[in-house]
Amino acid sequence: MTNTVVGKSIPRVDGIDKVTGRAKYTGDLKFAGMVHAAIARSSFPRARIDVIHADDVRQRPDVIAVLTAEQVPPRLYGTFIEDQPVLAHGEARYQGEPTAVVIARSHEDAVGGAADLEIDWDPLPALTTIDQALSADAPPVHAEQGSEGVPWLAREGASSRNCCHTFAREHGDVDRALASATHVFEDTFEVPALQAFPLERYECIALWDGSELTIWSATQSPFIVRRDLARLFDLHLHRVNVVAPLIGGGFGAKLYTKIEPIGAACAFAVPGRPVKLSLSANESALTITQHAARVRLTTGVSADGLIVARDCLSLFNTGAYADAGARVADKGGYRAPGPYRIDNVRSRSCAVYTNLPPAGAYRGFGAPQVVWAYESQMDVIAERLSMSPLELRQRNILHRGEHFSPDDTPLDCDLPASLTVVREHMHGASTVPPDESGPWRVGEGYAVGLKDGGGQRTASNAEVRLEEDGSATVLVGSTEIGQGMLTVFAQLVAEELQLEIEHVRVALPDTRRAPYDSGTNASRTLTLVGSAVVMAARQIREQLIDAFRDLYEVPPGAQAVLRHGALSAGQVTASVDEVIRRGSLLRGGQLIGTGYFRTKAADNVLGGMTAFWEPGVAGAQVRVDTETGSVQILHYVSILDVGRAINPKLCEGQDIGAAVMGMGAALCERLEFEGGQLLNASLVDYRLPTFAELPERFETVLIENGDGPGPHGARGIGEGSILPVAAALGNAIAAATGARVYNLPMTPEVIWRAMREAAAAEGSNTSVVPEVK
Amino acid sequence: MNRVSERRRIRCKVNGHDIDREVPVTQLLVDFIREDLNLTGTKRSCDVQVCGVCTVLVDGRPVSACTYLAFEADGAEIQTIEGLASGSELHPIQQAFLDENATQCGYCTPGMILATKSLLEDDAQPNRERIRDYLKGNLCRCTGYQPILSAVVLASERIRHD
Repeated sequence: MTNTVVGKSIPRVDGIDKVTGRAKYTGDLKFAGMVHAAIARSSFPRARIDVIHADDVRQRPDVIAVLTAEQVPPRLYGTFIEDQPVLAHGEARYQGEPTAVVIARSHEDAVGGAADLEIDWDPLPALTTIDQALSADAPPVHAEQGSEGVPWLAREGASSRNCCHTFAREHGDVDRALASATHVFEDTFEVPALQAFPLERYECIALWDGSELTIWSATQSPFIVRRDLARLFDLHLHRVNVVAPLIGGGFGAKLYTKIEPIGAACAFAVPGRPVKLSLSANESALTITQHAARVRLTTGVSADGLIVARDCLSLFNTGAYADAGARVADKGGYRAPGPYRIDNVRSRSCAVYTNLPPAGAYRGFGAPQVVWAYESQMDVIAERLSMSPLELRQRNILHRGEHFSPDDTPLDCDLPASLTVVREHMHGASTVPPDESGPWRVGEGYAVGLKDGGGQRTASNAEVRLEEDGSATVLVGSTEIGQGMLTVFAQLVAEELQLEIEHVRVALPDTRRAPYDSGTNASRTLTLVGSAVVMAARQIREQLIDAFRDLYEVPPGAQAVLRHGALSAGQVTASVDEVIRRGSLLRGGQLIGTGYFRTKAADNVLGGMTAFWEPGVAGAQVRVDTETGSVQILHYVSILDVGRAINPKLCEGQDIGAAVMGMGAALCERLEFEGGQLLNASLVDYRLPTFAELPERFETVLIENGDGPGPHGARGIGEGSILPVAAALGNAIAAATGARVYNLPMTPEVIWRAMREAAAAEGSNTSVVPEVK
Repeated sequence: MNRVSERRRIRCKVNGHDIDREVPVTQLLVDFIREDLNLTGTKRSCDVQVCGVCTVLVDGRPVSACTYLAFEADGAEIQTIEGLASGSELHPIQQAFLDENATQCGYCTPGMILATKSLLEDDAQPNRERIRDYLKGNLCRCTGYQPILSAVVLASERIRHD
């Protein structure tokens, strides 16, 4: 019988299906009588809809129906702010906004119908940048929005008319501390909009059978989709069933409700027939983006390099609809001061409406933007103070038990140790001195990011069922997006009940069977849902122990335990199998355990206590070609303070995956808009990291102190490792070339220009090739 | 509406099975495989021959099925991910992907494995540079590529030592 499976890199339980092509994703499902839908979209970033000429398309023999705003519920939806229509009503607010939907017998006929649908538009001036949207004469993107002025925006000279949401936190006396600080640094940093590009695009299949709405969807948050659909279509929750099959990557892009309302509207139009809505890659790019942002940091530093005050202003371009933008602004603003001991902090943020596609969740949720700013500024400060960047960080970094914010959970991870370890690994024995001949210059850089992990005020449930043959089923509302939920939950239950891993099966969620969960996001699944899973398994263990006591007449005083696959009390022992087989308790056929875990509510700015802190600490050594500005990553070290690795190989996979995703954002990715038109939705023009961009050497260093609040001391991961990437690379590039880049991405051209500017600033701009060092 | 309705007969072998069908001349190979043959292991994503998730082998060469017309496969031998394992025994490349955690969400995996098969048939012992160069037409958003690199090396070792 088994022993311990926690801490072992067992192969992922969905692995065989995935390497053989048997794994079924939403788009692989086929149902009898299935019909297809395709979306006709706005051609303009802002325009009034004059007429939709639907009749021609409606009359085509293969077309079943054409829906416009009149045929769908008028109610608006949105997880944090209900501002988004199912189909554009009267006016479209971004280029690509769904305006009509064609249902046809085949996908080709639906797409053809949508392409041929004629819509008369009356274009209006569009707002595309944060500055345009905040200017005094900007028209409101949402007429009904933002009537009240926000005083601090007004002091920045900004109108509040397109303010979607603001956030503020403050402690100490920032103005006084800045006034008396020895040094004050003010710097502004920008990041562009990005697409997450999970390889699986948005897909859903919806069926209204006259009494129940079932929707299969590649969604990270089936229960939120269920709630939004129930509200939109005026149904009770128990009449909506959201099924989330295996998901081909999420990264936040599939968090919260996306295409499901359109899918559901189609289902109601053709009762009894499943309708498939499958977006193209270009349409997926128009569905959600990562927020473009601008972050201004004003930092006061004492003579000995201690940060005494920091004032942060973070503006997020949230596009035409809020989606997760309000919460991204909260989290970005909350995290913007950085993981440092600062007595005087003020941080404000605003999600700004514009006429761009909606921006929402993306791995890191507002943190990548602010970490890029504060970790770049740390090196700027270190340089101006002639101090080592690592020394400046060590002097100011928060230690375990200290508070990131006075009314939140104290820090539970070890940042100073991570900084020490990352330096050791960057300078390890096997490091060979790099080639700096010719145009190549080499430099190293470091960065630390920190985010509150797990989300606030979330609830997680789990149910474990032990069957009479000793196999167990785990029911959770979590989704499998590739992170390994199916595998680690099986490990947790196998451990608690001393079962073979093959005898534990975790079910993919549908909202009718699975217990409620708030979603697969915020690196929360293992730590929070996993805690509920362990609780459920322990309930079953207690029931087994009770059964053992009854069956084997264990005296009331004797302690009974389950260990190494056997139950024992004093001299009496029995295997788990035996107890189950003999167990009269199993006459019912099943033991059921339930678990519930919720994070603490609190009267603080986020409305709840942080469940755990998720750090990201990295070092990078880069080589820059000073003639072309191209960058090669020679060595990258990522510290993963995971608390306890339930499956080390899966942890490493999350780490390098997040880091390489961050390298794309740092070095090459940017959604380009011109007058509100997205120019590079397609992968021909939008460059993602390929095998060629893999660093020459990548190291993940796991730190396991057992100090996380999750099962076995685990702490959530998956986002932390993306946080420090851009700043670590930017700092390394600056160390190599003397050129500092403030706005991502750091393409060769941007670096080349920054080198020219740096050289010019030093008065040596006479040579074509910048002189460095 | 200006739709081409011409159809052509194609005879080909898919995973060793003889196929004889009529297909519209405009049909893409990826749709023929996924919809007509119901072999959904082949995925589609970017539609512009960049991401590689629709990679299948046509006469042993990796091809993006999203930009390849079905009728062009007339007379060809096609291999999809479903044709790789023999019964319940995984192909060494599949086993190596499993052992190295080279699959996360799994969406790139079928194409990545088929591209790897083509690479290892061309070069039984590719070095790191060759692997990186050969597979750069297959994107993965989850793994950061390193585990895939390890899996390719492991598979090449196992195949050579078998």
